[in-house]
Amino acid sequence: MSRSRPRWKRRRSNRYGDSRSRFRTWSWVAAGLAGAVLIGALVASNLGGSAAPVSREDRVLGSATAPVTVIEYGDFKCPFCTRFHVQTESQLRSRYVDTGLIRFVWRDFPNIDTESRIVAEAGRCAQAQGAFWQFHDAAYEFIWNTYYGQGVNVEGRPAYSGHLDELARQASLNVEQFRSCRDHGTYQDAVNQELQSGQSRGVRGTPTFFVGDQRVVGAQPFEVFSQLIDSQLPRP
Amino acid sequence: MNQLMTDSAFRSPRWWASAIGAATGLFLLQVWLPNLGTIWSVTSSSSMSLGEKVAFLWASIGALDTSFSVPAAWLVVAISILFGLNLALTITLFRRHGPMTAGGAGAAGVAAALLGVGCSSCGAVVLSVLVGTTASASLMAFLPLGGIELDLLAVIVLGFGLYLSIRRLSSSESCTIQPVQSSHPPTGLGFGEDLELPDSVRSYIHLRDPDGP
Repeated sequence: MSRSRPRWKRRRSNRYGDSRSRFRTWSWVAAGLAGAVLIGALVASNLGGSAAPVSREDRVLGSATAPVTVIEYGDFKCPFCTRFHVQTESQLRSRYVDTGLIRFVWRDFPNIDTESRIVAEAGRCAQAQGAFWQFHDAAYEFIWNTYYGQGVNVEGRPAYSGHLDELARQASLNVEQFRSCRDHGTYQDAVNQELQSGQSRGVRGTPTFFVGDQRVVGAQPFEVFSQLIDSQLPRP
Repeated sequence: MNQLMTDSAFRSPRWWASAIGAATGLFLLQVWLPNLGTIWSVTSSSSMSLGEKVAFLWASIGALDTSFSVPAAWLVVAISILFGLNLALTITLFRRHGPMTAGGAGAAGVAAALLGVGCSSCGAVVLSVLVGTTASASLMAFLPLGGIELDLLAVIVLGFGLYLSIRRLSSSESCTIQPVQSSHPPTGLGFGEDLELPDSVRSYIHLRDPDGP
């Protein structure tokens, strides 16, 4: 008994021309490319990385002896950092920072546009006057209330321009010193170094967090952070 | 289309199970892709109970609401559904006719969707792997819709793949040879050996293939 070819093999050789055949080949090349892209992403996302240890130059909120450290690589122009600040950070502060369970650390990762760097440097100038967190909160509340909370995207467009002095006043800063600090670009190199340090440690966008030894990308819900923090707290 | 909807494939629970399974799989992949390392670490952790792990995974799906813009979230859902239908139809076509072009179109759509996973600020995960963080952020900021264009492209490509698959399935269902009663012997031309053809067709075959029966 002779084995006959499958029906589809017999038919397709006659019914389709060379152009169909080429298209089919390219389709499978596309499928292979999709697979390669997927594998590359999976490998890259599993590379992990870790944040640099907390130093005296870092902007830290909470007890230095807290058992878990949460580090945020953020950008004052990033809409999802803003959303995280409004929706999640306040809950983290009241439940974990205020109770001494975590310390929350800010690192600059200005990657949205050129204004991102300007505001990051302004944050450093506020830090020099001991009021980084007041400036941080004022900046995020300003951009949320004025733009992102209203559904207006200002990525790549000026948003803080002409408002930084006003934010400095809200943060109870010495505005003259603040302006001078910014005009001289005092912290330009420091901001660039922190950006490069984040990149070298696997940060690819903002917001990126390190909850203890776990990297969390994106403005995840509060429950994701609480689960990760709770799992790393000392068990009674 | 009516003929298509009465196709046996669509009445099969397995067909729907594969479509829903594929759609769910791609949906979770798109939501979880930026944090696959952490998800793997948590699910394989011995310090968390099964309940805590399930709660973590469930909570992380909430990123669709907090980590995606509204249009991007809808596009994630649309891409997942289109992919599920594409894959199930491709499998059906593969079983009936062999490798099909629609499968490649579907795969290209998934590739486009994965390129855009993330957002302009969170970083397009796959794209940043391919072209680097700075170039990816620049490209996303340059695009007027902040990277949603890639998801729209994915919807178009997947929609085209779905159209190809449906057209192929529909045509294969409607172009059937109707057997007729005849006393002539089988044609022996390599197909339809067991069919009896009308005289007009048989005389045409004789003209084209004089060595035939």
